[in-house]
Amino acid sequence: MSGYPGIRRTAREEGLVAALELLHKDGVRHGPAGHALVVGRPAHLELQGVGLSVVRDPSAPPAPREWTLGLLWLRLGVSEWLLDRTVAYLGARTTGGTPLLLQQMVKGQLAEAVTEQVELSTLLAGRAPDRLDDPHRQITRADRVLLRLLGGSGFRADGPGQAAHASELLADFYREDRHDRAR
Amino acid sequence: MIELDERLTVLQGHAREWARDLRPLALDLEVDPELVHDLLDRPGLAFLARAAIPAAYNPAPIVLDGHLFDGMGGLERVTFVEEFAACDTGMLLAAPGSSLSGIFVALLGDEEQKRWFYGRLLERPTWSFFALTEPDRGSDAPALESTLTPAGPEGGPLLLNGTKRFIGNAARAAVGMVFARVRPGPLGIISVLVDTATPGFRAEPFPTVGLKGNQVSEVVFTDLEVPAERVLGRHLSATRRGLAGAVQGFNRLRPGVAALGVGIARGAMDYVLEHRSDLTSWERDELDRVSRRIAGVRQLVRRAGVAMDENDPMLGYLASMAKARAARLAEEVTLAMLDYFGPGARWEHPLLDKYARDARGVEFMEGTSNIQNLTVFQGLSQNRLSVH
Repeated sequence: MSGYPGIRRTAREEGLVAALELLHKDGVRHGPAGHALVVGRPAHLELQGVGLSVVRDPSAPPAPREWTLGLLWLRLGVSEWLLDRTVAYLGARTTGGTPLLLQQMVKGQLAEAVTEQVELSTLLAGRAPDRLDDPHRQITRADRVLLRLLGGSGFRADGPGQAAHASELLADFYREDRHDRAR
Repeated sequence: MIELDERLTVLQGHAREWARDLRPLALDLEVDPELVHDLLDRPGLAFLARAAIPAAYNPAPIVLDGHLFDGMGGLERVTFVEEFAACDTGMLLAAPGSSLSGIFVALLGDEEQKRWFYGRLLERPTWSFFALTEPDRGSDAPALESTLTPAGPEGGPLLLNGTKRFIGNAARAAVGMVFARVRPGPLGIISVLVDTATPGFRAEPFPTVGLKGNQVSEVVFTDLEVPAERVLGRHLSATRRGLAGAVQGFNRLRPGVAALGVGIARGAMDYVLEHRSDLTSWERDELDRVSRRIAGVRQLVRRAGVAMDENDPMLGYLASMAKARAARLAEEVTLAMLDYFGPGARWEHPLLDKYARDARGVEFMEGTSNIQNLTVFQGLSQNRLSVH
């Protein structure tokens, strides 16, 4: 593993696929129920022209905490990647001649999203929290704010919204197993 | 509380049954949206194909248990839409019929236009499309750039040119409605009825995260000839047939879109109740709260439906409130319901995953929540939200 900052940076600069490959570099890791999302065929979803495949091996040992923590950094980086794209998109589009980015409502929502991200990166730095499901929810929440700002373009499977979907899938596959909840 | 009368309870019961009949096909339709062509005999699709056609133009209107339905009423619409959406929004939006453009034809069309448009839909199950949004100005309709220019002498046909994006069912539609500009400025926008068999029409579906049955498309019009008699509202004043007049139509679309959100949220919750027989008492309490929250938003959606039926001047604001609330409800509830299953829920429960993906689509249909909130604020600032 190339360290958490490297994973986050790769996700932010190159996107989810590159960061996921980095994370799986020493072998594919599976979630508690055996799911994994990997680059390969058959493609269950396409992301930026690359096929991502869902594999399931219930006998595979669940990914160690060190790895699942890396996944959280990956998702944070993907969320930041989405933020960069959303800001660029809103800066380029206008309504009534003004960039959408300068609308007060839009500014406020972008601020919410980036605040979630900064809160999370602070939480993850140093000794990370014991439970990781809430931080995952926090990332999903930030991503959803950004997707709403992307409007219809965030719903295209060939656009940035597909990365947010893949990121949600990852959170789901590697979510902590809660014994009080059935499969 | 707004409750359904006997007539609408009958409709609700039938719609629930029809939608359940189609639900087992939800995932197949995602893989192959063309599947809908094989399902046109199913009672749900047969109903949708003929809904939103005013009874006066339908020689064989829909009668259920002695009650007449035309799919045009507000409360009627939100009632059946919720039932279909609770099972599969993708199938509902894949259905033939006039659900969006039919509302505008009823509002703006003259006799001949209504006969032509509804007549086409009644010949056989026929898809229609509704094209407003353009690639670079989703939320800025007054700035749209598609043009209608005279093909020859005044009073003759017009040539339609431009590109529209996020247009559901366009690739399978035979008829549709398009907003375009006849001159610069916000008052220069009108709408026309289009026959997709006319040369110059091209629709290309693009991949979406959810609602795949809807085959959301990009549509390009190249010198498509529109006869003068297909200009919607040609018998009306310039203002009434323009974008300002169309606002009434948008107001009448939104309650139905809001009902999609309520239906998706309810469908996801029902899925948990159906597939988790071992709920803890804490989980039951939590689901009760979700159920009450859904019921609350449903009331708001019904209120918008009633406002539509009563031509209430608050319709636009209520419809915006309902739509924004319902879109958020759908997103939040579908995500929360995935938590009721273990790791890999999105893979092991593909239908629930589908609800979560479809919910994202409701947000941008007929205006994002930000746009709706701006409308609501307008009502507030102009003191038009009389609370009663």
